[in-house]
Amino acid sequence: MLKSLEISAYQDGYNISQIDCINLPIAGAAGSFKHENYHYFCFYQCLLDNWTDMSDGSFITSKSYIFEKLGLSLKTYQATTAQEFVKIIKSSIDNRNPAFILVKYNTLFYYKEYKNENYQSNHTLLISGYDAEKEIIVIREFSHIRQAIWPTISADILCELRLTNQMLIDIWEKSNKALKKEDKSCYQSVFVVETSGSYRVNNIVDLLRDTLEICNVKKSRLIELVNQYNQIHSYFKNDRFNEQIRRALHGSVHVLFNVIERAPEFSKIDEGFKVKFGDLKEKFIKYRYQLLSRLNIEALRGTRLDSNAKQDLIYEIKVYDQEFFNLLNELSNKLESNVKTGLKERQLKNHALNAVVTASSQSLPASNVIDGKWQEIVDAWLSTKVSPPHWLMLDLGEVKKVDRIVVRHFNNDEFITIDYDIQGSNDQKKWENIVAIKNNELSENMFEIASSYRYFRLYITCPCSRDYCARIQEMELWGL
Amino acid sequence: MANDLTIKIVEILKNQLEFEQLDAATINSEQLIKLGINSLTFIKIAFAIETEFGFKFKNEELDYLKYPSFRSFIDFIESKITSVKEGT
Repeated sequence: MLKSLEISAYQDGYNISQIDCINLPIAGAAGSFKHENYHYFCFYQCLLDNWTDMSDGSFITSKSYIFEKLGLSLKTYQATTAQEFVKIIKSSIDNRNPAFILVKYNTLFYYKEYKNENYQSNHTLLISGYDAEKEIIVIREFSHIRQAIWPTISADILCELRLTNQMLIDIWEKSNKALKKEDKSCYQSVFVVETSGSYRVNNIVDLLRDTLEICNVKKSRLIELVNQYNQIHSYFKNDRFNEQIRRALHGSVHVLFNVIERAPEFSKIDEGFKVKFGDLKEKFIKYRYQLLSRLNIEALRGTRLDSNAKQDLIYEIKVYDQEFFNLLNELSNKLESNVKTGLKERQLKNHALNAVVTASSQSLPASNVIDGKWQEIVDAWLSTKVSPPHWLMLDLGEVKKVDRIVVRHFNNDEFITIDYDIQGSNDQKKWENIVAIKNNELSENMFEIASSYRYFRLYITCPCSRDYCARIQEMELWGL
Repeated sequence: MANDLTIKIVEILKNQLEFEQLDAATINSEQLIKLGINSLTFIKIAFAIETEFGFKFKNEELDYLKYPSFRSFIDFIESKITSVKEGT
């Protein structure tokens, strides 16, 4: 019987021009515990590559660093024999934990560089299931189809691929021969991702807060590249080098913006900010693209950067980076304040529900404005056809502080209340204006206030465009 | 002129990309990305064109997505060659 972990294919994910082929499957492993973890993992990878010292850390250190943020931990198991290797995989899947191994592309029988001794690139295989009877191990892969569908598909989707145990053992053993010489920490290792219980990042609000804490614009990798350009410009003739820096310093930046934009919290942000965010995204990505293209062609032309040109570039990068982090800071503050409002909202009560309602006249009962219904015209208070002004009063029984007033009108342009005042009083004699509304066109008015009264009333001077009658569907007085 | 130029540019592309021949329809309507060009190969192609025709790309001209089709890229190169000849 097949035992398999639920891991999304992440068709809405990223490709190897944005995050490398080692980290994408690991992001998938993180995603097996929570869907968004895949995106958060990629987000962190981009931060580490751009504005921290962490990209210098070892493979295990940097992955563990990200996992810890997500409430996960990375365990390394050593296997000296094929039997041990399979046993570790089975036990990890039995415990509902995904595993991954580092391999060489030239050991993958389904990859175009199979057996090419000159092709020594590393890759990660995510292991998500096994079938003990059929001796099958399930991996998640994209490299077998990358050539066929690239670049029409935007993500390196995590396709399920079923290999016989022996196929995977073969890949593992051949890869280990090469890894033994170059990377001891991955030699004969099976990495298993487990939950650690406590997480630091559970949503975009946490993610932004942490980003602003761990990133340092002074540690910009792009500035470092410009600074070292004259010493390393010949590297730009190497395709691998070009691919790596394009991915880390330009491609990955798409991930940053995308992870933020896809968050449900972001959709609630005001449109003005979204436009600003979109504008910077376009400028920021384009700037990095053009700069890397320029450095690349200057290297091919054999020209160097003189110190003025270098200083100008560093200045530009700093300005863009600063603008980016300022924007993240602004967004973080907005999201934090939305969270606080949300929390407060849950604690606020609608005092109107317990009020005694009276009105200047009634064709439909005034108490309809506190019945919690406002869809139909019969759910409303309707005055008689007398000339305005009309009034509607709520008696809270005692003085209460109200933080928010909501007035709902009938959702039809002809019946929306046009001019009215919201007033407060403690003796029904002296009325104070809280809000004055003129030329209203909205079917729902909401006011954030902080007023303490026993009596609240609507004083309606222009009830609607159709006739003299006042119509109020619902009135809400929210407070602690 | 345009024909010779097209042939030369196709030759330059062939050194960087994997294709045998380009037909006229592809040249006229396809985007560079459909020919397998990406940000890296484009820079190599741009440099090879600079070397062949003796002009330099400006920074903002190094974005391959700026050219809606292969034909528009060839037209752009032709205009650069003309301006070099005229000394502008």
